[in-house]
Amino acid sequence: MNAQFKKGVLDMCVMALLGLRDRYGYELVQDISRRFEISEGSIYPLLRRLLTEGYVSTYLQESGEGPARKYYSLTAQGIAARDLLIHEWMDFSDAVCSLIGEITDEKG
Amino acid sequence: MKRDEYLRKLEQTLSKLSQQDWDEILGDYSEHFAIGLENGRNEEEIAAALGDPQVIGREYTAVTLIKTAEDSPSARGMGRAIAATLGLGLFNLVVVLVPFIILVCIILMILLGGFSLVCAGPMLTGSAVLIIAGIFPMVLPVSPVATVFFGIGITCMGLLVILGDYWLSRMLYRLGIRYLKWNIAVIHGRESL
Repeated sequence: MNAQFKKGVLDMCVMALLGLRDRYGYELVQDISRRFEISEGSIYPLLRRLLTEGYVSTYLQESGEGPARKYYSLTAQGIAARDLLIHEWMDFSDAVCSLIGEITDEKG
Repeated sequence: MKRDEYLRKLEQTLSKLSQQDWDEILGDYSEHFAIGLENGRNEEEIAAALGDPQVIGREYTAVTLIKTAEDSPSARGMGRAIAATLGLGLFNLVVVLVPFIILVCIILMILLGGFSLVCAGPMLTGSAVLIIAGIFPMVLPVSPVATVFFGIGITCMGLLVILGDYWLSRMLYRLGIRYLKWNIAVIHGRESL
């Protein structure tokens, strides 16, 4: 998929997933990779940015096997940012879809 | 690439960061390796999927140093942020280093101009006073008394120029930070995806 498309929406996808439940980094990569391809290493700089912006917080939790995992959780500020992003995304994608729809209609 | 080699390369490119940032970032990536191995992937596979450790490390460094320069403004902090941004690619020599040098030169030239005016004022006033006192036998084309005040005016103007230059450099500092952030987001952010 076009890298430019992904760049704009990856923040939103991560925040949307974290809104459902807290996840650790590896899990986020897996959950997103199931839908579309991403470079796995790009998720950690993104999470770090969300952390410095105050949109997520972290805590460590032991796992059954292996080392403790760093879980990310959406803060109140993050929830507000997510809602705004999703709202804007919906408006934008509706507009783009209807524009593309018009072109397809003309061709058809 | 094996896990240890990957983490070592990442570690090397993070050398300019604080111990805390360093620990956190390396922690994230070693956790990623550990969980990947648990899930039955091998080290090479995980390393390849993560992407070039040096590119990732340089980007962390630039983002972190820009944030530091923003939170606690200093010429040194700005210099480090710019140096880190230059590390992201040759292209930045043109779009970051050149404009930065030009702006620094302009700020220094205005500062020099301000200092010259500040120094010129007392000289004018001083020599006019000497003429009035008769110590310095010279005839001025204007009244010596006017020259005394003219000198004071010049000094005040110089001080205003220096003050203005100070505000200009503060404004350019803030703009510079925004530009560096934009540079990373637009030019380099996409490389990591």
